[in-house]
Amino acid sequence: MDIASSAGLARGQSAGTSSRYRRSGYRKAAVILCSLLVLLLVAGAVAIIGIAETGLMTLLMVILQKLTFGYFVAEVDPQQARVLVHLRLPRVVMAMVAGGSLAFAGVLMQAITRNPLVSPYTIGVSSAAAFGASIAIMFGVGFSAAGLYFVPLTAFLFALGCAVLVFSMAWLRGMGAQTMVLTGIALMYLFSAMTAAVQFVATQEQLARVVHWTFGSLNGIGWDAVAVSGAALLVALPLAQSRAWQFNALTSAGDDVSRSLGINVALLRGLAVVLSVVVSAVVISFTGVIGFVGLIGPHVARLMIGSDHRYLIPFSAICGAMLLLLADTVGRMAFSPTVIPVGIVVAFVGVPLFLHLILSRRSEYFS
Amino acid sequence: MSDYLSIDKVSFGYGSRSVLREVSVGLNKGDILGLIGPNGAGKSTLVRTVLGLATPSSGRVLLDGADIRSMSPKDRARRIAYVPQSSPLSFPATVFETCLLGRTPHMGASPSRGDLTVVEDMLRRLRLEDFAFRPMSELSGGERQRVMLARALAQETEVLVLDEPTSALDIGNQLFTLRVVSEIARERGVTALVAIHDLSLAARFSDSMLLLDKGAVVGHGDWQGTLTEKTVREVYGVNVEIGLLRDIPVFAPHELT
Repeated sequence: MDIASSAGLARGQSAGTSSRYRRSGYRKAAVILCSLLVLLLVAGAVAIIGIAETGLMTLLMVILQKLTFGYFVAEVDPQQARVLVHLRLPRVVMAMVAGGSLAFAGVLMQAITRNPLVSPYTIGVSSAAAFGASIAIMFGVGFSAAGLYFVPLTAFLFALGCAVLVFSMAWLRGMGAQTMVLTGIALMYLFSAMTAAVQFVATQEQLARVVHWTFGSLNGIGWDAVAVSGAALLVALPLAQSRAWQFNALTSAGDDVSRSLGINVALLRGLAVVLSVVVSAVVISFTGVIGFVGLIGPHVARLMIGSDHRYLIPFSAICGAMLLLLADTVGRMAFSPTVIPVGIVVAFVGVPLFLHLILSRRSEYFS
Repeated sequence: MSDYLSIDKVSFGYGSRSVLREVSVGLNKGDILGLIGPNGAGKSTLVRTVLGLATPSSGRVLLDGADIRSMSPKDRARRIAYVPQSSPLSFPATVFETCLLGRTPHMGASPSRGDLTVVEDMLRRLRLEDFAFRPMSELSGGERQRVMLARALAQETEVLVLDEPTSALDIGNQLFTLRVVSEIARERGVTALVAIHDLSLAARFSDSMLLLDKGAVVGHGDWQGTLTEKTVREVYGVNVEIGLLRDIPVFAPHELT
C-alpha cells in the first residue's frame, strides 16, 4: 500500500469504491481537456503545413487580426494571409467540425440502438443525401438562381426526408431500436438504387460531379459551411450532454429497466435521432459522404474512456475531429499537389486502426 | 382496501387473447408475495403491470391508495424498483456504473456524493466490492444478477418487483439473493413481489403466495394452502410429493400426469 492510500485510510475515505469512482471521473475529465488541447495544437500545426515560410506566429497574428476586426495589424504577406484565411483555416476547422459532428451523431445512434455497428448513416441519411445531391447536379443546371447552395440544400432536404420516414415507422412501432435500424437499412438500399438510376442517365460531366460528391471532400469549403455546421453542433452537443446519464441507462440496462428508472425512452430516442440526423446531414450536405468516422469515432473514444456518456459524448466528438483532421492532412500531403478526397483517405487511415483495435482488445468489447 | 400494494381486478390482453383475467391481490407493507405459475401463466405480464411498463386493459394497481398510472415516471421510479431476469450486454459498463443507475430517479444530471455512498454500501452488502470496477461482461451469471439486485436496492424504493431473479443462478446464489431480499424487506419495510419458478424457494421466502394459471388466480394464501399436491397436479400437470426437510418445504416431482 502506498503512502497516499494509507493516508486516505486514516481519514476514513479513499479506500472505498465511491472515492475510486470519483477519482476515475476526474481522470476522464482531465483526458478530455488534454485531448482538446492536443487537437487545437495539431490543428494549428496542420494549418501552416505546406504554405511557404508560414510559421506558427504568422498563423496566430492572422487569427488575432481577424478576431480584432483588423484593429491589430499583422505584419504578414497579404498573399499568405489570404491563403490562410480563405483556404486553409476554413478547411482545417471544417475537418474538425465534420469529424466531430459525425462521431457525435454516431455515438448517439449507437446508444439508442444499443448496437455497435450503427452509425448515423445506418438510418439512410447518407444515401438519401447522395440521391438529393445527384438530382440537384442532374437537373439543377437551369436553377443557377438558387445559387451556390442548391446542391447542399437538396441533399439536406432528402436526408431529412429519409429520417422523417424512419422516424415515423419507428413511431408506429413504439420507437423500438430494431424497427429503426431495419427501416433505415431498407431505405439506404432504396436511395442507393435511385442514385444508381440517376447516374445511369447522367452525362459524363454530371456523372463525374456525382461520383466526386459521394467521395466526400473538404475542397473548396468556405466559412459559410463551417458556420452552419458548427452552429448545428454547438446547439446539439449540450442538448445531448444534458441527457448523457439517460443514455447510460439505455445502453447498459435496456428499455424496460430504463423506463422503470423513470426515463421516457421514446422521447430520448426521438431526440437522439433528430440531433444526430440534423448534425450529420448538415455536414455531409456540404462535404459529401464521409463514411466511417461516425462508426469508428465512438469506438475509439469508448475504448479509451469507457462507456459513461457524460464523458463519451464529448470525447467521441474530439476523436472524430482528430481522425478527420489527420486524414485530410494525409490526403493533402500524400500526393501533393493532387489532393485526395478525405472521404477516401479516412477509410485508409481508419480501417487499419479499427482492425487493430478489434484484435488488440480483450474479448469483452466486441463479443 | 387497507393493503399497501393492491392489484385490483387487473386484466390484460393482446388482441383477443387474454393474458390476465381480473387478477386481484393485496400486500401489506413489508410483505413478500411469491408469484408462481407455469410458463405462460401471466406472471411476467403482471410484473410489468405493477411496474407501469404494461397498461392493463382494465383494473388498476394502487400503491398506498394511489393509482401507479397517475404517478409521473420519475415519481414511480422513486417508489417501485425492478430486477429483471437478465440484462443486455451491449457496451462495456463497470459494476459500479451499472449499480449507480439505480440512483437515476433521485439525481439531476450527475450523481452526488450521497448517491455514490448508497452504491458503495449496497455493493458491500451484496459482496460485490471486489468486482466494482470490472466490466459486467466479465462477471458470472450469479454475480451479474447480484448487480441488478444491487441496482434496484440502490434505488431505495418502497416496492421491489423481481422477475425470476433466481432462474439462472446456482443454489448458493439463489439462497443468497432471496435472503438479501427478505432481509431488506424486514429491515426497511420494503414490499416485494417475486415471480419465481422454484416452488421450494418460493414457499420458503414468501409471506404469501399467488398461484396463476392461464391468467387467472387459482390460489392465494400461505404456501401450505396454495401448493397442495392436488393444485400442483392440476396447474403444472405433475404429480409431486410435498414434504419438509428440516422445516424447509420440498417439492419432489415424480411423474407427469
